[in-house]
Amino acid sequence: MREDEEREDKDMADGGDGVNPLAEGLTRERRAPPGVLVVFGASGDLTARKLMPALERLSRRRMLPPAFAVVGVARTEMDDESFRQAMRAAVPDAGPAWTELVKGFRYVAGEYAHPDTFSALAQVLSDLDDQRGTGGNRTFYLATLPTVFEEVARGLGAVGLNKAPGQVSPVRLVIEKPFGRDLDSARQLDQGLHEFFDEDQIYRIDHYLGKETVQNVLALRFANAIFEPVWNRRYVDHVQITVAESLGVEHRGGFYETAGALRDIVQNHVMQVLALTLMEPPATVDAQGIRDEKVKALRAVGILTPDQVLGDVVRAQYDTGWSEGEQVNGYRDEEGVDPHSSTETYIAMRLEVDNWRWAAVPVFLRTGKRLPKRLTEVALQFHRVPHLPFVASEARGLHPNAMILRIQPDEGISLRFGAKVPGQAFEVRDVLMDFSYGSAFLEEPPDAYERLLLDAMVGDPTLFIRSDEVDQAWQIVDPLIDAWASGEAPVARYAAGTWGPRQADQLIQREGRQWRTP
Amino acid sequence: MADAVVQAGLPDHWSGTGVSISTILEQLVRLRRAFDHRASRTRVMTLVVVGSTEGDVARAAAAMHGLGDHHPARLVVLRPEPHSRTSGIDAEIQVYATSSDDHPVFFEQIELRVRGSGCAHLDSIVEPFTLSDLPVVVWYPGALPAVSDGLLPVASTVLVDTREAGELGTLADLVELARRRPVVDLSWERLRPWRELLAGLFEGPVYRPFARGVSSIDVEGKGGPRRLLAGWLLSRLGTGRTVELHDARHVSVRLVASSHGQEATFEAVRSASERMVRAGASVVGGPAHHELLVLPDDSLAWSLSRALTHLRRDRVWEQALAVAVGLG
Repeated sequence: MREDEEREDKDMADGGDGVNPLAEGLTRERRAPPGVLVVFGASGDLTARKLMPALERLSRRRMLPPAFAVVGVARTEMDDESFRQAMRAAVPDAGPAWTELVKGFRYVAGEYAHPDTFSALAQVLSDLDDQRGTGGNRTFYLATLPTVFEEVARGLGAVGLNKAPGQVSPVRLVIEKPFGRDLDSARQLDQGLHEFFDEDQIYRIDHYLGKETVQNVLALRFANAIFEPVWNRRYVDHVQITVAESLGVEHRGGFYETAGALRDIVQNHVMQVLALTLMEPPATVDAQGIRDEKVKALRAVGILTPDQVLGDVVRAQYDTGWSEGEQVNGYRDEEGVDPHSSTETYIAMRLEVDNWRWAAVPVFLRTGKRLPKRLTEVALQFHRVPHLPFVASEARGLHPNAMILRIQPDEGISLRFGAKVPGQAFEVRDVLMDFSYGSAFLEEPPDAYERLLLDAMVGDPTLFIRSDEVDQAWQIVDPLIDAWASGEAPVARYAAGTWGPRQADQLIQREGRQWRTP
Repeated sequence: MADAVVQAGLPDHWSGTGVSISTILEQLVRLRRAFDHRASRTRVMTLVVVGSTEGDVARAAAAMHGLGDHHPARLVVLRPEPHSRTSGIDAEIQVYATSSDDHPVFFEQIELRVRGSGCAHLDSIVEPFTLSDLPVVVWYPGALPAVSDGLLPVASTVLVDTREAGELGTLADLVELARRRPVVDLSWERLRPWRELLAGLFEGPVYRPFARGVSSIDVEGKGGPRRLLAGWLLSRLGTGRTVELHDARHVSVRLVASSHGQEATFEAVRSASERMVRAGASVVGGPAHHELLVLPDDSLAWSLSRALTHLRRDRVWEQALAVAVGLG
């Protein structure tokens, strides 16, 4: 038998997924394998605003295979051509490659509760396998309201679309936050999905993890020998995590009333950044290695008692004020918001982490809308030196060292340390050593959706949230929901355009510390 | 993300004729101190450009500046004039800042005109200007370096453009040079979209088995890139296939393959009037797929930026080049 034929037979035995000799040396640029992306909620806002632009960029960056198609599914009645027109319109500045790609898009209209919708989808997918060679590989993206997640999973399972034909190719289900409204509903959702999909088929998106600089926290911590030795209680006095938005609720008042900062930001984005900051080094930077360590870190976070919620958490709402040069409404005056609402637009909290590395190092979190600027950062504030050998007047401008990881915008790292002011006197002052992430690398970082969409199609779950992570994050957040439901915790007020209420300042000042002014 | 090159202030500048290396270094320090204090001094390499003509040097320096703040580097431009009747060094230093998200990023260009006997020892002239612990990339725009080039010992990576290779003999020299030092080829980077496109045609369980059954390869295009692309295909798919090379203005590739009794065609054709490639795979009596590739900007700055991002030995290129030389 010829060598070529032997290899060919091996390819077939592998399900045809042997090595592509032409791809050698090009593997740095990951590429989705042939397959179909099925988008539920295809006529909705998320599809047009986020998914299609992300797909277009993937297409432009040549990360989609030629044997690729999108099938849109939604309740809105339209045919294939209308769907294609809508998807072309979703990316108005796209080039001819996108126009060419969209020509292969298909659409299935129907109710998610109706079995006919899924039978029709199964037929379209089978046709695409025959005509395009997509090989039974499917990624189901649920760009829908969370209330229909289980319904769609059930519909797919009923017609066998939860498994690939012959079980050879992968089938994945991608869902967007929120994953439940509290611990109980999150567990109920998981149970519903797991009836039809195994955990390793479910990709839970938190777009924050798709941000390049969030991933850079891992690179900074685990690719450098100089940071990790000081990344612990011996050197770190406390940690501050800030997720600030300058915008108000805009036109999402109705949605925000049901979520608040706790469900919208803390349970997911903040908990993910917290886990990456606190986690131990993984043995391997892969899905299991990273997610195992993140869960361990979240498990070490002390669950607040009802009394601690009252003492260590501040919730607040913005009042009218000045933001970016304009006078803006208070939260209760926003469209779609109850004038007597107690929904929080700001949270500051103090957490403790009960493990060897972080014992007695408080972690202060704050997030809010209508703060002075939009930014996300993690700051490690180091201990003061044990003895300062200068007279007080010489070191007036000196603060403890700090390392600041700027996640957005102006991504980078700053290190604050003391240096002598030039001159005859021995005066020491803070200086900031600044590394700007964008100034050292050529590559335009991929947008978060672009990154996560490709990861889902490639089958890399590293940046997706596992069921036990979601569960653990809710366990940290649930006591706040319970305590606030009792109505005991007051809702503080802060003027729009400021860094939050004075109660938040008092929270951190009572231990002799203060919030950074980023 | 980063803006295009924006000059944050007037470039600071110094020049001198018949000057010593230590004078140039002193002036460099002086200019850096005088420059905008807010400018970040992130730097990722020393790039040494060796040019024999004014045009080559100007083109190379413009391409480097065209990268904006993406590869903040110390740029050392060498203009050897070995046949000059006098010996000495004339130098010019310019200090710039570009802007990244309103954050000034500093870089500097040192141009050295080396006259007479110093040209035989360019490594000793360049070494004092290299940045500690960072790669030194030596680039020869407009020519390919000889294996014995005296500057090569300071180079951690050599940057070349095989499109400049006039004769096969110079390519054969490059094969030898690549054994001694990492060589990055701008022409190879320009072919990257083509390589990705062709590799993509064989992705997936339906099409991949045909990669082992390619019987004929037709490549059209200009001499250097055509030969390199054919060398790559042969080195990856295995020699012993029928190869046809044709001279044409634009690149086109056609592969015929069979697998388990089925025949398939894989092709990528550059449109004559646009920077677009139509590509596709078609199994006789089976599935087919097509796609359109819009070729990226083919400016020198683009291929340079790609090359500087991948500063490492590339075995696939080395094997492709070795086979290309054998194609005659």
